[in-house]
Amino acid sequence: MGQRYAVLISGDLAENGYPEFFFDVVLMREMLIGNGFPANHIFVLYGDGADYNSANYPAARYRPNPAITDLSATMANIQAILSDLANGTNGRPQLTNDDLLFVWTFDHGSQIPISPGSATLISTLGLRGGDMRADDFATAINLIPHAFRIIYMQQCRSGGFIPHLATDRTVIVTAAEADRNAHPTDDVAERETIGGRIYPHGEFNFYLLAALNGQNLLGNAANADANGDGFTTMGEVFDYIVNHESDSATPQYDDGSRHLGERLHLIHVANTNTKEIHIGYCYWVTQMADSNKAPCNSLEELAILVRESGYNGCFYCLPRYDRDTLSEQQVLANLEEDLTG
Amino acid sequence: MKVIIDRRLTLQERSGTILVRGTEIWTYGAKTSKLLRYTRFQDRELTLGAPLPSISTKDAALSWDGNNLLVANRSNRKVFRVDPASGQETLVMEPGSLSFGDYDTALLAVDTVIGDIAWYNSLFYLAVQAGYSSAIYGIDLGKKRVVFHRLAPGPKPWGLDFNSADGSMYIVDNRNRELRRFFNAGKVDVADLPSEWVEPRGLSFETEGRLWSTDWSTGDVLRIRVEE
Repeated sequence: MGQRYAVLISGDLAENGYPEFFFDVVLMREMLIGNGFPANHIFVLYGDGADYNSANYPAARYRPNPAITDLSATMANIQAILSDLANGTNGRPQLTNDDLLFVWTFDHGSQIPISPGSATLISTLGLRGGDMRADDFATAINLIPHAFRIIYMQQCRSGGFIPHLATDRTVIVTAAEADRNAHPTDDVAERETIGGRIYPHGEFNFYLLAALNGQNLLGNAANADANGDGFTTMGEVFDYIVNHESDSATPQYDDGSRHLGERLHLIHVANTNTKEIHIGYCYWVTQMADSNKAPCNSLEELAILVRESGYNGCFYCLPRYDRDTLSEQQVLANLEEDLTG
Repeated sequence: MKVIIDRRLTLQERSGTILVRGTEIWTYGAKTSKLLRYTRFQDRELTLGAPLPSISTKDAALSWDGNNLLVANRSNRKVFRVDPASGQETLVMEPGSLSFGDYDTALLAVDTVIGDIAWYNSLFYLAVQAGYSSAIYGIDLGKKRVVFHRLAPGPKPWGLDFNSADGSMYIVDNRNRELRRFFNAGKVDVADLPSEWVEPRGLSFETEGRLWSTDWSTGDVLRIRVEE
């Protein structure tokens, strides 16, 4: 029960004038691992299938070792990997109705006539070898079982994807309306500079990462937890992005009729009474007294609780750290494996 | 490919666009909104030539279609053909009246602005700054139809022109600080901009391997030599 999986898609090559197409993949993956996603549950589709490596941008942070790209970002590969995750084929895990699916997309985005000559437009995601329409994307992703889905989209005209993807078990946030462009970082306060070189990012991504990491790429604190309860929900992430970015486009949001985004977050919850740690959306968190809840903001924090304070992973949602079913040695080995990505 | 600045001349008024016509340089004054004609650019200083007609367009980008001046309003993306003698203006393009076919419609987005314009092989070209949809559009003005689209090599394409000798397209992107050359066969060359060319605006061929642009930071015009 309760595994977490992510699919990260960035469709164009950094070499084509947008190095952030790869930089932001690296950062998004880093953020997910920091929030407890196992590295082998994160699937990266980028460019032509190989990490970006340019002498113009030598920062070690953006040269992950080992490489992180699993597949080229083509429509066929997106359909294939989403099908694999739906069916458990080709050695990939099969998601269940208890799992969380996190999807992030980046590239150019556009709108085209929904049929030849039609005045009605449909949003598309740019990919290698051709664009993918919002309805085709929805058809592929909707096959995957899930408890909840979190979908973030940085590309232009991404708001047009919302009608195709919105459900009561989905939080979707897009960088722009269906008829607006999304933009790169542009302010001095967003300028990540390494070795005298500016490393650009998507403006939406910059604040999304800041909200989920608790600090921005310049190392400045970012507090998106508006109500101060220690858990940054997807709704609070959206509010943080809207309140901080300066893009001419306005981010769009949908969390279904039950306002899932007000409750869904990526942070682990430690029960200070039972000394069990849970993924934020685990059923047992809903049964916990608020006074017993403590946020566990990163995998590093979780590791400290397990190693030094005797905390245990939940049997249902964090079985890799559950000493009731695994040996102490195995739990520590799992932790080490997840921490090193 | 390497970019070398071999001449820097001071304009009387800062311009964000440039048009080289024979031995003349035409610019558009950012403060006065007036077209200015400079002559004798081979000299150490530019000399103001005979006045050009007034145009109604504000924040203009300039090009030449062989007979007339083309003037684009950067923000509303309307384009006028202007008779250089009489100053008569004719609206020849507005985004909302274009047929896009299956091409991206970023040109319609209200936050899209024009970086530069060019004319080549009877088609009108725009470099548009539209974030991650920044692109080069080729437009058949007679049929009001988009016939060419390619994504720009960066979000700030501020200069666009074609080498008439081989049809290659040159684009300056200000964020990436690069000049890129695209050949029809697909080959792409990239050159970093010299650091002293701070804020490129506009691009116009003088002869093969020799282009002009402006530097918004200083208000100068620059002649650029492209070496292989």
